[in-house]
Amino acid sequence: MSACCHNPIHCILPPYILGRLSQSTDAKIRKLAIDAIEFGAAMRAQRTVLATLPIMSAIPSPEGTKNRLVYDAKHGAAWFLPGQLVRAEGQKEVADAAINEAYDFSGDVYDFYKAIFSRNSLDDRGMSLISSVHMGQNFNNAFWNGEQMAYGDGDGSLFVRFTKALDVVGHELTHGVVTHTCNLQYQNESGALNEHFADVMGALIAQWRSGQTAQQAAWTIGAEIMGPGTTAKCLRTFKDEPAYQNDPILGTDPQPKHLRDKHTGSDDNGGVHINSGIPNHAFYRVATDIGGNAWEKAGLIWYKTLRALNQTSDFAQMVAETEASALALYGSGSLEQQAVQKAWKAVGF
Amino acid sequence: MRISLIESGGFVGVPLRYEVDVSALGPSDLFALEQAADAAGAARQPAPTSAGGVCIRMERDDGSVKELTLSHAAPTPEIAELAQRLRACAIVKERIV
Repeated sequence: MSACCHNPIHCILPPYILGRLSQSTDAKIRKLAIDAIEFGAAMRAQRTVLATLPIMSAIPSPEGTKNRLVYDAKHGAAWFLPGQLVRAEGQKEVADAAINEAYDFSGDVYDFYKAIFSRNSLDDRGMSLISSVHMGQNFNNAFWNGEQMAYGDGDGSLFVRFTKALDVVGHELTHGVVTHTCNLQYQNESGALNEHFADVMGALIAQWRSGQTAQQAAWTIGAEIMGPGTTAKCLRTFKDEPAYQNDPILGTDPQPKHLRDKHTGSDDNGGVHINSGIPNHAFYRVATDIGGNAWEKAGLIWYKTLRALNQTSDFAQMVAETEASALALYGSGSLEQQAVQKAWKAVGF
Repeated sequence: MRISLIESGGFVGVPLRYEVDVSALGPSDLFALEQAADAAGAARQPAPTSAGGVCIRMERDDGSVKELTLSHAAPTPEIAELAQRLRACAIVKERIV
């Protein structure tokens, strides 16, 4: 049980029931109900404040260095997080694969940011990397909630457990890096850029871990979590092709790879997971044009750009900042600067 | 009554709709859903975050619709528990964008 649940009626009773109980003639029940209402209001207020001040939600590590904490949510719902601590930094492997994967892959993400970008964890101040595994029942997703990671086990048909893939872990933890840098608003083009950075870094971390060059990499996202009940081999691809077509559940990949095909609907927060396909493809073109290890030059240009953008940056600002970053890092007329310019032109800018 | 669960955001991203097998729900589940929908009627929608969330959509036989939304970044226990219960009864999945 979550450490917050000292009051037995905090945890599961809806407000309308609490409202009734707060008028009970039994003084004990009345007090518990009133405490629970106050607790719920305090939690909501706290989360609202933390959403605007991410630095306050970062749990520091004891030494200011890599500090992984893995919890077992025991199939509880999202509000139940983090759950029970099952593996802390330095502790040995356990029998549960999801726990070990969350521990190992979050360590890989920390090591990547430290080794390649000299970044000390998501906030660059050594914040702890907190993961909860076994979230929910048949939960087909994983997410960063502003404070920690949570991974579902999948339903075993469409998806398998989300801890299986390093690009999943890298993608979601990079949302934490975005939060602690430019904090791109999660809607429309700024939201698509938020998703784009998460996909780029997720892919780069997986390539770095397996020592793949840009030419060797598959440039897919989520390949290892697809279940037997779908024909899709991955969730997204950086290449100019659909990740899946005519799948009975997923249909056809909606991601465009050119500005002319940009999704203009209001769904998906203005197409944040759809329009990220456009900058994703541009990044792929930059990385393969430059060649070698994508994290070394293309990745560095993108990381520098990430720190130069702001909350409302759009695609046009992204184009300008990547070109400025390439210029600053590699000089005017360099292969790298030309690769960036060519890539954006190829996707419609 | 037709009930569906729409999971969006997170790593998967694009919304997936799950049709719920209403026959697998008991009267207490349906009562709790109705009560929660009434209680949440005027609640402000959570701000969009990468965490995403869940929308429970209830379509009555008379055509009226009620929706309950939950953000994983700021989950409310009652809706989270209802979504958890409905996930166990999901029978059809489809992407809706």
